[in-house]
Amino acid sequence: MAKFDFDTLKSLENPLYHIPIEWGVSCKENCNVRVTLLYCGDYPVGMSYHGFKIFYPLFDSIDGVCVSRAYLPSFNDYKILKNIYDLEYSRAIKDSDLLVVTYQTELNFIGLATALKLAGLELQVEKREGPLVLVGGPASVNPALSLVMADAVFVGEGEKLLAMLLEEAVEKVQRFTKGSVYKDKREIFLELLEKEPYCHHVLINPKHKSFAAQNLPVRKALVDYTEYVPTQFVVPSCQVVQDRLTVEINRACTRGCRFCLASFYYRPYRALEPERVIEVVKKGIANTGYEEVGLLSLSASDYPWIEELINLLEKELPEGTKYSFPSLRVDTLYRIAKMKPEKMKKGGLTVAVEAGSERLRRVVNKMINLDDLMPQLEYFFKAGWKHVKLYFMIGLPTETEDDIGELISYVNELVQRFGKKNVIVNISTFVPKPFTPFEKEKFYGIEYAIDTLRRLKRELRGISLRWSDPTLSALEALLSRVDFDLASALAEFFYSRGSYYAFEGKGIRRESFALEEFLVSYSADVEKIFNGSKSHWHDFINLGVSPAFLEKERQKAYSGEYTIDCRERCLGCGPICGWYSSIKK
Amino acid sequence: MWLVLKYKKVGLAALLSQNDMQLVFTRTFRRAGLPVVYSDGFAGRVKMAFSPAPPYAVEVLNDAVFVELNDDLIKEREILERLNRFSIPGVVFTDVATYSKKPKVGDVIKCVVYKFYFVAEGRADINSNVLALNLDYSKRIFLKRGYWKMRPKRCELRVMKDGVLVYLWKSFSMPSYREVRDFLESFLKFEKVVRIATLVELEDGSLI
Repeated sequence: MAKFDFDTLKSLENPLYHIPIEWGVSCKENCNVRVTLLYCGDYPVGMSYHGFKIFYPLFDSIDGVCVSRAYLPSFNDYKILKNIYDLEYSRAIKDSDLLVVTYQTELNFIGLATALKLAGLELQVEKREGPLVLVGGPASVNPALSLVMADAVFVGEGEKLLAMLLEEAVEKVQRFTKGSVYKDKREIFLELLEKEPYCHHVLINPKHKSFAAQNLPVRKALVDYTEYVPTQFVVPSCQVVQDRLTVEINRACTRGCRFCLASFYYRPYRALEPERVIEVVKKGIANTGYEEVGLLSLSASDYPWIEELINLLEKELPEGTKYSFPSLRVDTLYRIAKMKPEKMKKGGLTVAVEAGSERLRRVVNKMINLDDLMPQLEYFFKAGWKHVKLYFMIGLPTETEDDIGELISYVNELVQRFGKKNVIVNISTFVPKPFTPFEKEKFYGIEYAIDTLRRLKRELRGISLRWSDPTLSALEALLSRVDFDLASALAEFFYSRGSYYAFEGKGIRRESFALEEFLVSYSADVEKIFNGSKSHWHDFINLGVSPAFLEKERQKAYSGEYTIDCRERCLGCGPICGWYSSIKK
Repeated sequence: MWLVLKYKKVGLAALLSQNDMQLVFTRTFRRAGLPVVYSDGFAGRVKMAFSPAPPYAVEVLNDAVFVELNDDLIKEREILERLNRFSIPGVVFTDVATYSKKPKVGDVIKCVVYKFYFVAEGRADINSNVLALNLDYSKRIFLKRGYWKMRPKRCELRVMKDGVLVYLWKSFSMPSYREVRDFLESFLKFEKVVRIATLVELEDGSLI
């Protein structure tokens, strides 16, 4: 039961973001270990994050573990609540024993700095008392970024190991309460993490332990994810982003786009068989009451049994239930549309072209033939689709004015055929990420992005043009490859200012100026980071994709060579598939 | 077959807005496995009708939702049992009535009754001026609207031992509740407000 009084709740922007008026919430009375899953964003976005949907029922099933969720309150709500509380117990997150945090993007770093400040926790690990902060997720692969605030960084898939860790922690805590030597639960967790098997997959903050004692680099943890597909979910009673039942039909993508971190982070490729998908969907719908099923995947088009799955879904889904594939390529959608699926949600047409010219698409390894695309789009427009959304990136390696010119002429060609109102163009700025072939590439900078956007706006006048803020892209580029010294300084900056609210809201300009001023004394470091001359992450983390393979891919990018899908033929990217086979055995 | 389901929304569930309640009902019906009917069209929705929306953060003790079912074989008791098993904490279904055709909302709902629980100090003043209050209220609403064609909404206030009971006769919209609340708040302090009923066939003074 929430401890907030009714009048306080009534005065909040949306009280449902702070109380457990939801289905599937678990509140245990007795617990030995309190785990809080902290999402460094607000409730509507955090509720759609699939990782916590896996962890919540998994941790809840362990005797002695109380699992709860916490999200960042809105600024106005924080002014009333004065702290960050979890939903299940209305307990300040400071009183948890373990904070599990995910970095889905580098910008979650700002969210965590703000969350620590709001929760009254120290920024520096050595000074902090209270919960052990464990960070994971794809954007945590730069240890400089993640180790600044975290006590430990979990590399890879935590389904099995985190559950094991909690079971062992409960056992230790039960002994501890009967008179043991531990000072607190934080110490228990740290001691466990230093032991096998955790020490092979968890990067422990050197402020706790010397690096010499830990064997580096730590290896990405892998699981057979099909054993951990959830069927019990927490269902919100208000609208959230992606408000649907989500079933992960496959994990990883083997297309190998050279700019994409997810493509290299989630390897190897694994898929859930259609019969199993149907079983999970049926149980999930019965347990949640959702009217829509989202079949999660990085690239649903590569799901090997897609036609079979659609036939089964059409047959087995109850009345009033729709299903959707969030990342279907147009060629696959074209094939599927001819099957005339009735229960499939007719989403928008989205094409991630990424680069305007064939040359640049070769550089980024985006195999898409624009000549084939045109008749397919025509088919969809005749079949009743209203508009097509195109995604492009600017600032890609080797990009020239001519590539942008080709982008403009392609969009104009589409506009001539389908009309101005029916074409939407999304532009984002390329951010080089660690553990990708472009990890050492230059970030072109805000000025270049702004100039290119100006040109696009000028030459694509009247077309619906949307773009991601170049300031945020630059910040992401800085954080993704930041070094240890600058990361500490930035964490201090974001912590002291609570910058999350400024970057999420209207204060973005003001905050950017403040950050720019702050970075003046670090300009040499910033330049080095933007130029990609540092790549310290390989010394700490091994994702199973070798640096030699990444370098080879980079060279292929410069020579404009495509790399095939690795399911056709093994490309020898590293030991990742071998690790997975040993787990399966 | 149409069902008229009576429900109450108490405790923290009072913070569910009417928009949220639509989602809550849909998910509860589906979780309970009720054979609900969907509207035709591209994005079919559960066929439902609601009583007038209760004001935000006001507890509701006897409200109604109308829903169409495909199957008339399910027993009323079973429906109630299933719904309460799968409902969200704080939303409790209390009664169910079946209709072969969709009943008109206006036929079922005659008035809405709110109870304003006032703090002890104000009790003596209000108790002596019930009639004046009613007259004054009508006058104020009338003056506020400012033109002749708009008749004042029909409303009646009664003072009970622990609070003020307000009957809103066939004028259920939020502004009229707000007008009453603002009016009462101008000279009384309240602890809380509860919407007591929407479905009552009201006979004068019979509902206490």
